[in-house]
Amino acid sequence: MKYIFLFLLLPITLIAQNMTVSGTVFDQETKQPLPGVAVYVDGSNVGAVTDFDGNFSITAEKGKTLVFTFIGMETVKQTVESASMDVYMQADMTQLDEVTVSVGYFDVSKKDLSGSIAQVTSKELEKNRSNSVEQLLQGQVAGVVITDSSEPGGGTGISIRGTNSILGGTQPLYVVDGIPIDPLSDAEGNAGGGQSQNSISNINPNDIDKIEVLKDAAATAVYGARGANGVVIITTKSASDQGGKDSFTVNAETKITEVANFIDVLDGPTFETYMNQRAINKLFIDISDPSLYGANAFDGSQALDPTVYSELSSFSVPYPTSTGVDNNWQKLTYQNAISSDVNISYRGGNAQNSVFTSLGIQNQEGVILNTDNKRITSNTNFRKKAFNNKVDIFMRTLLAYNDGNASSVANGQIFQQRGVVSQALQFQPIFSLLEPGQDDDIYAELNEGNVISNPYTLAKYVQDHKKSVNLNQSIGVFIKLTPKVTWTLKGAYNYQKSNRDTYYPTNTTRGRRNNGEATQAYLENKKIYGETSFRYKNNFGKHRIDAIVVGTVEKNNIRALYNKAFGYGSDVTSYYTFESASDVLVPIAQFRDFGLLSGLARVGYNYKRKYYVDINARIDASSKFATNNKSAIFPSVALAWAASEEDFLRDSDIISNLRLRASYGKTGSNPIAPYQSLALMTPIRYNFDDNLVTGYYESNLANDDLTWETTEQFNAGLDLSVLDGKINMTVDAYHKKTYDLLQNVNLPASNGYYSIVDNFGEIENKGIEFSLNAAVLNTADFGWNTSANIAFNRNELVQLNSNLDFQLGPSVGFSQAYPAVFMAGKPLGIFWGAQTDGIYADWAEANASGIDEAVPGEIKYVNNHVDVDANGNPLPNQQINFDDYVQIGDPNPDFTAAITNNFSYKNWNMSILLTGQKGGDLFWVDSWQMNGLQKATNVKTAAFEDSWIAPLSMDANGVLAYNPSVGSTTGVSHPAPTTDPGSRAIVSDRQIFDGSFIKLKNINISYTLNLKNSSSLKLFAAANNLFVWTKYPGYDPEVQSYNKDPRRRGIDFGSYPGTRRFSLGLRFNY
Amino acid sequence: MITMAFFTACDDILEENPVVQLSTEQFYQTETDALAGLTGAYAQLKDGVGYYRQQFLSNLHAASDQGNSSWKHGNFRKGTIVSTDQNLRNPWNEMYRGIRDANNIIAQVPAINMDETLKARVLGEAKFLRGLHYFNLVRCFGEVPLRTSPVQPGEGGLTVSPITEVYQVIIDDLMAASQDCWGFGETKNGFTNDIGRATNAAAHALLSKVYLRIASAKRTAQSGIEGNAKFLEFTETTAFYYQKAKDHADAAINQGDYALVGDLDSWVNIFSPTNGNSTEMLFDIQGSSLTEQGTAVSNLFSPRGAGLSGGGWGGTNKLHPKFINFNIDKNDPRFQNSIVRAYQDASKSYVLNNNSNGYVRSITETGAANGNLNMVYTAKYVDSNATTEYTSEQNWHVIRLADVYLMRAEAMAELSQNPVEAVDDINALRQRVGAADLDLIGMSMDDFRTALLRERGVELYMEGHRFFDLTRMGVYNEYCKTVHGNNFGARQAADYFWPIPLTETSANDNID
Repeated sequence: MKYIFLFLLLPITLIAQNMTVSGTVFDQETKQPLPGVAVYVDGSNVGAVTDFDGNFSITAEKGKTLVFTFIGMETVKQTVESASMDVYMQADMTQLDEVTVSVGYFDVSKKDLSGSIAQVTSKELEKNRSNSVEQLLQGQVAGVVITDSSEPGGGTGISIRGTNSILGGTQPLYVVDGIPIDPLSDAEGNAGGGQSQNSISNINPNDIDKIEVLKDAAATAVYGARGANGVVIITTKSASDQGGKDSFTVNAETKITEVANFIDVLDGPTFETYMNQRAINKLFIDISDPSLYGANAFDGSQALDPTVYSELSSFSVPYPTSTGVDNNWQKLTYQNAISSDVNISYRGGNAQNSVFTSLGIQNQEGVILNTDNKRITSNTNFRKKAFNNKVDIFMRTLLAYNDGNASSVANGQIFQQRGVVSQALQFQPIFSLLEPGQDDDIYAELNEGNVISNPYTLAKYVQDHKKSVNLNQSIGVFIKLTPKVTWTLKGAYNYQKSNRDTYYPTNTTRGRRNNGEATQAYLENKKIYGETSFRYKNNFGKHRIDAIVVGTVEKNNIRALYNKAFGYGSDVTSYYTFESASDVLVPIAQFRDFGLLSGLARVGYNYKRKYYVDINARIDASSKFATNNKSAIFPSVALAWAASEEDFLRDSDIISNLRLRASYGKTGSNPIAPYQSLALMTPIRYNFDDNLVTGYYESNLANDDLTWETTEQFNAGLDLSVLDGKINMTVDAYHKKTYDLLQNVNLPASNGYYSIVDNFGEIENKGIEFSLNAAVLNTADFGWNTSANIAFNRNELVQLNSNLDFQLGPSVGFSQAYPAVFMAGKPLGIFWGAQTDGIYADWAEANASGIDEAVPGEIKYVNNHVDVDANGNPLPNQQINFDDYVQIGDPNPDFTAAITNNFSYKNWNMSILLTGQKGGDLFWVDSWQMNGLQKATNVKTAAFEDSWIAPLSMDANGVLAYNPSVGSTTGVSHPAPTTDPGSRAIVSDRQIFDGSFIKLKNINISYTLNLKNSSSLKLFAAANNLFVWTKYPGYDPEVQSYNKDPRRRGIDFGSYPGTRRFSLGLRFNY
Repeated sequence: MITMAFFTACDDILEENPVVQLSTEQFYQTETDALAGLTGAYAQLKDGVGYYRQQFLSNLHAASDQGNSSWKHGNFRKGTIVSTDQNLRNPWNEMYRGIRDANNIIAQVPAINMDETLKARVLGEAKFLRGLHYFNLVRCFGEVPLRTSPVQPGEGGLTVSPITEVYQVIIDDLMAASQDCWGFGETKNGFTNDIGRATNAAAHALLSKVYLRIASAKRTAQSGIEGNAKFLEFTETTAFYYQKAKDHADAAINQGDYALVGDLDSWVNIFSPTNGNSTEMLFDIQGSSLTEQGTAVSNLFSPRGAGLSGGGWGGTNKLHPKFINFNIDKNDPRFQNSIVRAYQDASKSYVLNNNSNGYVRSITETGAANGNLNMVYTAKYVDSNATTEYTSEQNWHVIRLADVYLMRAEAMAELSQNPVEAVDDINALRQRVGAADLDLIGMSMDDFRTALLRERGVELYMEGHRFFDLTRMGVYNEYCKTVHGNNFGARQAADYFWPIPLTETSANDNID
């Protein structure tokens, strides 16, 4: 009864109490009215939207609750008490933190993302203990391949979605806190031009808040000219979310690094056996040669008579008695390296004023003796809201100092065989360390004609000091002109100075050659960056618009000086003086200016947050190109459909998010040195009868057509979340086409120039990427989260901009061979060389081949191309030359994959990262020596054990006898050790190895102790590269000899050995 | 709008102004530019490691019968050079860089307003250099691309030209040089011809060498030497070319600026590092102790670590005992006085053995015997003042007067088919070093040619002529076998020329 009464009363009450409520919604911060705010009566479908002036009007019942919602603002609920009300909305900090993604120049809600962008936050980054920013990304993002470097302060290779630029390398564009930053240049090289060393080695990984990787063109086209290799946006930590609280963090860590595996080479006594075997093999090959001895050719039935076989009369073996010396040069040259890291940071402030400052000190030792790097970084930023919160001022200072000794690891040197790593493998175990006063000339006799140095001497005494200072100062002003329009002004100044000083003392081969050799190189790079933008954001009912126009200007100024001197009387002054040198070479000075002007307009629109369109156009103009080709337009368009917002899915219990994306866009690249389009004269000197004169020669051919490298990319993607977001999956498929590829194009040298920077050809990359993240278990105490990604990329050099069938890559190795070629219709940088088919057993087999150099014990090369004379008849002496070569390998991997498992139990946390790669052939340059058995240098034990051995034995008195039981001439895998081998240094499939691997990349265990005053202490232990499963016989399949150079991918030449690292640390948070 | 304003304001950001380098358009305006361009062209002779500074010299040595060079030259020793050989690319590239510079001068200098006599000399020298580069190319590689004007941007590579066309350019260039180059140290119109520049006599001497090569290679081709078959394309008779060789040798000798030295001591002294540009040297690549003006010649040919050359790995080019025993007269005073007879390195001493074909080695400190070294070093390039690998003052002698005498001797004997015609010139060289006269009376032409090669060998060994002498005389196979054995010494017709390097053929779609 009572209820019926109420029931009856209700409509009456409603009618009675209904009234029109009107008012204005303001932004709490700026006190400006907010248009487009959705207002509705809680529990009803009565709603309204604020107009342009923030006003609303809605019919509501007194006592009911009005709900105000606006993107990026905290939802406000207010009870209706009177007919007018003003509402203040605050920015929703927590919501912003969780869902916004930087897309370059501004952030958008992750929900509104239409491009392919991956985000990695500091929480995930912290689990990956590493020395560099790039390494942090390892295994985190599908399609991003990181090539690890063990060298202290050394560069890390990174490639996003395959290789589509040659001259530009694979390095993406790095944007730190909104400012594009340049690679740190290493002062070196005889042109004094410098070489990019480690792009972001000046950033302390501990200072990073989050990293976004922009992969598809819709995302990267925002950066137009330089987005072709992808963009990595780094946001460093700041303090605006502290709410007035002070926070102090100390992070300390110690690491031990060791060489992961040693390569098994001959020990002293076995090396002597090898040396003796060389002589015996050579003797047998000669005396069994029918062209020398005809019917008398030795076959075991004849007596070993010196009057018949003249070789016997002067025969001796080099080591009839053992030297007794046995040194393992790898053990002597490598060390267990200890590194330490301390980072201190403070952050505090509130939404109005905040400050973050950090100091990091890292002391890193390398596993090669005498290599190290010290790094000091500091990062300070202030944020201040001024003028009634309408102006937001941001200032950041990044300072980095690096100081290291690279020893003679010889990265970037042409003659890497003189580098420590190659020498540690090849240097003879029967030599001892140098005594004081000795130089490595004492090794000369055994190494007659070979360029070889004692690796220990090289590591210990060669000085290669690299120092750099990097200052990055930026300032940003964000002005809210109206609630809908923000004006941004940004400026940045980057100053880099690097020095590289080297000295080769006279006890090293190179130092001996020049009687002490010193260089001093210096490079200064100054860059000014300016940016201004207007951003307009508005909602019209169900329509939302987010538009921006940006203009940027960049100006670089580089100067460099390179000095070299020879002929020092003594090593004591090292590189510090040139006065004590007898020959100071003419210094090489470089002054280079280049600039980039860019304009960008972008409009993002969505309807009901279901249908998205993003349109973007950017114009870039670079000083580096020919006069009429300086500017280019880079447009993009992206579409997205939030299918899960549609009625048919909105109520689904399984699917919580389903989003389909498609995008198309163009990006560019201008990675070349300035002045390449101009014809230039370079000074050069000559003397006439000791009178010096200076002349000029034309050193650069003009290229009026030089223009931008352009990449077009199509991307289709799908984001799916099921079971309340417990399982998230992203799939992207892409197709990239890069044309007008910039490259050092080989010219016919008969034109007087053998290379020119030119637009080279067209490359296609296509691929598919999957990533999956699942919260497997989530209870109060126990959590298990797993994420995995896998990426497949295929590339092809579609065509060359000329009539040529192929271009040679750069030469490598002591024989200056050309293993890599760029051939139309083939993957990029395939390996091209001779096919082999075992080892010639005897003269009968060798002579039957018709090949000029066929000799027993030599490698059987396949004669794919029969050499003919002028009449087309086969020549009697066939040669193995380039015409016989075929594709022998492909450095492009079939796929790369990574799996991370994260477990937590109460205060314990453990994460395990596995990375892997299938395919990707490697060309191991050192295998020429290690498996070729062609010189008096050390070789792999396994190669010698499975090599061609003559059926001759020698007793203790040096008497030779035919002995088939010691011989091994058939079915062997390696050629004969011999004193005068044939062509074993040509490129062949014997140097190609499968680069597939699985690595237990990272295990990290931590325990967090919660102390009072909300402070905490976290202890952690981590191991990197604990296990590697691979068939690759070199040090490490993740080769990085030339990690910055796509022309030499997959080439392992004296690369730093792979390492294993253990770290122990603590992190205190107050 | 703002962006547009931004662009306009910053327009100069996009302009390139390379302050450290001149653009070619600004160059070639004055007399100074003409001379500076010419200096640049000379500098290419030894700027890179591939040409007269290093590799080319070792290539020529290793390709001959004289002995081994470094381990990198294994294919030259064995006659198995393929297009990927690392020693081909740089010499090829650098010869064509020299041609590029000469072409630029020949195309640009005529329009410059300057002293006409000097202008003629500049052009004459540029043609001399271009002739020399093409002569080296055609001798080493045979048919090669023949570019005689500056390359235009975007232009592709040329196909190879028949050797007759290449030789025609060489002859035309050297003829012009023989007229327009000046005499040794000559002064005209107030300008002095610097010592070290190409002279008119040097151009004649080189012309004599060109004609003699054509003549002798054609002669041997006619007698069945397949390696010289291309020379059958030359239409004139061999006598025509021998006559030209003789005429230009006469012109070089009679020009009067150069003279043979008088005695053995003076002859030894022409190889002194400080006696570059002596009166026997017609054209030298200039070495100097000035910064970066040194050569590697001393380092390449002198024993290492013995104070006879700069530091480091030297002595890659040495004489094989079999060359000494069989292919020259090792008792000739010119050989005996131009080899290193004894030296010491850090711990060992080396003394020439009694056969003059190797060294007896002992431990310096104890005097204990320490085996033998089966090779002999020349003393022609010793430079004790060189501090490093590239700081020798030693010049490289491209052509010297003794060579011209021997060329004339050969041409005269071939013209008359009578060895006696050669007696005067050959003996002039022998008499000045105190060697007995050579008796050529009654000798057959075949024996004469053998004797002439021995004379050329003993006078000019290790001066870069031997490989060319063996090929043009058609005896390449025979002589190399004597030294390197039947296996490694064997030479085919294809070995008379080196293959064009892969770097060229792969970038030039007009060459296979």
